[in-house]
Amino acid sequence: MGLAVILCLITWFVLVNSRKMAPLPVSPTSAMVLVPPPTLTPLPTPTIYVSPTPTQRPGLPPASGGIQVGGYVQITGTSGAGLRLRSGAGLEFDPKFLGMDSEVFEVKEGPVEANGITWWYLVAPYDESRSGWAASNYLQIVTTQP
Amino acid sequence: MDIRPAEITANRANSIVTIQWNDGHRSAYPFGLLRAACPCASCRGGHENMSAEPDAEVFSTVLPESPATRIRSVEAAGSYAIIIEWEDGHHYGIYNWHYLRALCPCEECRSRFGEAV
Repeated sequence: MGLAVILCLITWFVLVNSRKMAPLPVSPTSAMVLVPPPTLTPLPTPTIYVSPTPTQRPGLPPASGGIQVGGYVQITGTSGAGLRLRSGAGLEFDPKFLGMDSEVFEVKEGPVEANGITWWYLVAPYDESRSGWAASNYLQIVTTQP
Repeated sequence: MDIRPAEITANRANSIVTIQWNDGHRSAYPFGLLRAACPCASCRGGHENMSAEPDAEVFSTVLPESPATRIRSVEAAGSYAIIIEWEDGHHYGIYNWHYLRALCPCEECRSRFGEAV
């Protein structure tokens, strides 16, 4: 009986005091201002194409140099100086521009022998105006004709 | 102008990746150049050697045809880069747009990025 009375008193005390608790003060000019994050504008993603694996891989170049019309070559071995692509197959022709190490070209014509050098007519795959005759000494096959 | 690719084509028949840029420029990369210039920390010899642009010597590096120079897949990394997976399983290099443009081997781009011509 006494225990029940004590429990009732405790319950009454808790309920009365909980009603007296003041709500948390809310300042009309709060120090914290929530800034919504900026809306991100999605940047465009490029279209990516990967061609299927060729059924017959072009393979390593034949032992005889391997450069052939329709294949691709890259310039190599100029130590950054670049390779002169000329208006004709021979040292007497004027250079048109410099091809740089690792620059890729498609082989369009050749070979032509002149000045003890084998020459190939190359065209950049991205700019047909970037074309000229190049000495094979500084050409490395990327692929033979696909 | 924010220079970024509009289209990327990896042609496994001729082993050349072509990028058409939104400024009209077009780049052609031999697969071997992209692998030689892999920008991952491991390939560049540690984080301390990493920079925003490729090392100049990658342009004169010729890698033989092998699984390491054959592309298995190319995927976009967000909207700022691509990740190339090679047939030898390597796929740690993240090639961002700036890096790829600096890697363009054409005379115009090589001049712009400080290579003597």
